[in-house]
Formats: sequence, C-alpha cells, structure tokens
Amino acid sequence: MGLTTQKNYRFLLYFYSLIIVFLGMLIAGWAVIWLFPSNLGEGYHNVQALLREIQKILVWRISLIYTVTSLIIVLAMVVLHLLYSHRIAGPVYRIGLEATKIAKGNLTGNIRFRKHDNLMDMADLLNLVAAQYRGKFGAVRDCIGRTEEQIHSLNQLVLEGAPGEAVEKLSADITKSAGELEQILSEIRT
Amino acid sequence: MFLIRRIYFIKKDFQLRFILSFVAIVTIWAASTVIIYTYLAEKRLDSVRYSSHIDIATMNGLLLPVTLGTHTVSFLVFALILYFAINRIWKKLSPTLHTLKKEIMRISTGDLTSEISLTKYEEFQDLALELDHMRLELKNKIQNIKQQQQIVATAAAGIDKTIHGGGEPTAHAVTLQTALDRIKAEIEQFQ
Repeated sequence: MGLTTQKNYRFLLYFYSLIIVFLGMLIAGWAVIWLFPSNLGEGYHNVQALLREIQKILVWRISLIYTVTSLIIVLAMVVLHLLYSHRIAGPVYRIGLEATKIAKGNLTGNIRFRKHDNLMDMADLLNLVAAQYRGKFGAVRDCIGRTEEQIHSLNQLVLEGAPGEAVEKLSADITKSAGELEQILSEIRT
Repeated sequence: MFLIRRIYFIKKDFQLRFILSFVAIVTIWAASTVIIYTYLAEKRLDSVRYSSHIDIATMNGLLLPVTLGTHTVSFLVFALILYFAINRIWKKLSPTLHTLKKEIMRISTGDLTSEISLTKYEEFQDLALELDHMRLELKNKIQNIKQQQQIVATAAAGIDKTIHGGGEPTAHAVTLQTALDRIKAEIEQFQ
C-alpha cells in the first residue's frame, strides 16, 4: 500500500528528468565549442595569443552559456514535475472532495480520476465506504418500512377488535423488526 | 470514464515542495558543474599555454576532452542524486498515504470511533481533516439514528407487554411511529 502509482510513474519521472538534463548538457557543451574560434591558427605565437584571448573570456562565457542552459533545464523540470506532482495532488484533491460529499450525505460513491492519475486504490476504498453505508442505510430503510406496515396492521386489528392471537403475532413481528434494526446499527461502531 | 485535466496547480503547498526539491537539486548541480568545468577548462588552457610544444590545432581538441569528461561525470552524479531524491519523496509520502488508506478501510468496516489524524510534519493534513470531518458527520448522524432506535426497541417491548397484559398498545405504537419518522428523516439526508 502507501503511494500506489500507475505503472512506470516513478521510472518515467526519473527518465524524463534525465533526458531534460542530458539535452541541456548537450546544448551547453555544443555552445561552448561553437562560441569559440574553431581553429587555433598557425604558428606558436599566434596560437599563444589566441589562447590568451580565450582565457580572458573563458569564465564569463562558460558561465553565461551554462546559466542560460540551466534556466531552460530548471523551467523544463518545473513543467515536468508540475505535471507529475499533479498526478498525486489531483487524486488527493478529488478524494477530499468526495469525503466532503459523503459527509454531506451523498453516498453515490462515484469518484472519477484522470487516465494517468495515481492513488486509484484510495478512490476505490472511498467508493467502498459510500457503498457500505448506502447498503446499511438501505437495510435500515427496508426495516423501517416493514415496521411501519406492521404498526399500521396492528392499529387496524386493535380498532377492529381482532382476536388476541393475531395481535400477539404482529406484536412479535414488531419486536423482531426492532431487533433487526438494532442488529444493523450495531454493526456500525460510534 | 476519465476527466480532462484543467487546473494543474491544485495542491499548491504539496506541489511547490515537490517541484522545489527538484529545482534545488538541479540548481546546485548546475552551479557545481559550471565551477568544476570552468576550473578544468582553465587548467587545460594553462597546461597548453605553458607547454613548450602545442600540438592542438582546433578548439575541439582543446576543450572537447574536458567538456566530455566533466559532463559525463556530472551527468552520472546527477542521475544518482535524482534517484535518491525520488526515493526520498516516496519514502516520505508512502507512510502517510498508507495511514490514510488504513483509516478509510476502518471506516468502511463500520468503525467510526477513532479520530483520523496525522503527525505535524506529514503531508496531506487537509485530506486527513476532510476524511475526519466525513467520519464525524457519519458518526453524528448514526448516533442520532441509534438514539431513536433505542426508543423503537423500548416502544416495541412496551407494545408486546401491553398486549400480553390485555391492554391498548396505541400509545406505544404512536411513540414507535414517531421514532421511526425521526430515523427516516435522518436517513433522508443520505442520497
């Protein structure tokens, strides 16, 4: 149990993050080579002069290239992780909404998730909560309906002055129904 | 049936922490890479400049080995750090969600007795509050029903006793009907 995710969720998060960084590094590396003169020239002194020039601008140019690339990488990571964190945050939000609905008495238990969302098992559990209490309240409703009919019949028999045996039987039925109601409710511990 | 995603930034605190942890890793990693790369490139340049014989003709020959070396090592280090960072998030979230699932399971079995709460530093405090609110509402409604059920049981026993004693059960029947009406009213609040 715990954080149950869709297949490959963790791997894909890892993989896409690495791809972003890899591409960033590729671009930065290429930019460093591209932004400096490709040929160092001919002759010892010419090469030395060029190397001196390169050394003067090396630090800030590399810093500039890597700063820009890092910003792009960070931006891409923010987007990726926003999408992936939403696959946990979205279901958590929806489960919270469903819990509020159940608290207000809505026991339809119909949580709908997005295709790639995680925590499907948590949604199933909450749907189970709704179904269990719906079932219990349905049973209570049936029991009440039955008891009401029995009371109605009892009142009729008493009014008609029916024989004691029939009245006693109805009374026993009412006691039985009251017991059933108690039984249903005793299954819920408050 | 599945929904279409509309709002991406839905649990701001959680998502911000989730994103920021990775942004921090990338930023520190990028800064370290730049420092190491610049240092090595400078060193390489120095070694070429102060050598008596220069056998490098192109920029590729000068910086490519340093670039490739630094980037390879830096990438492998990043991959390792990222692996641990993702695992750390999982280890942090899993126990909390496991607790919440256990609590929902407990409620589904009809146990509404104990409070759903998380420790101060755990994620999803608001979800725990919402679930506990649900538990409390169900508990209150069922307690009301149970109170009326006690009246139903007493009235049913009263009817039985009165009939066996040869009396009129009407008063008990009225009490019983009233209690049933109240239970019905409570149940009606549930769809």
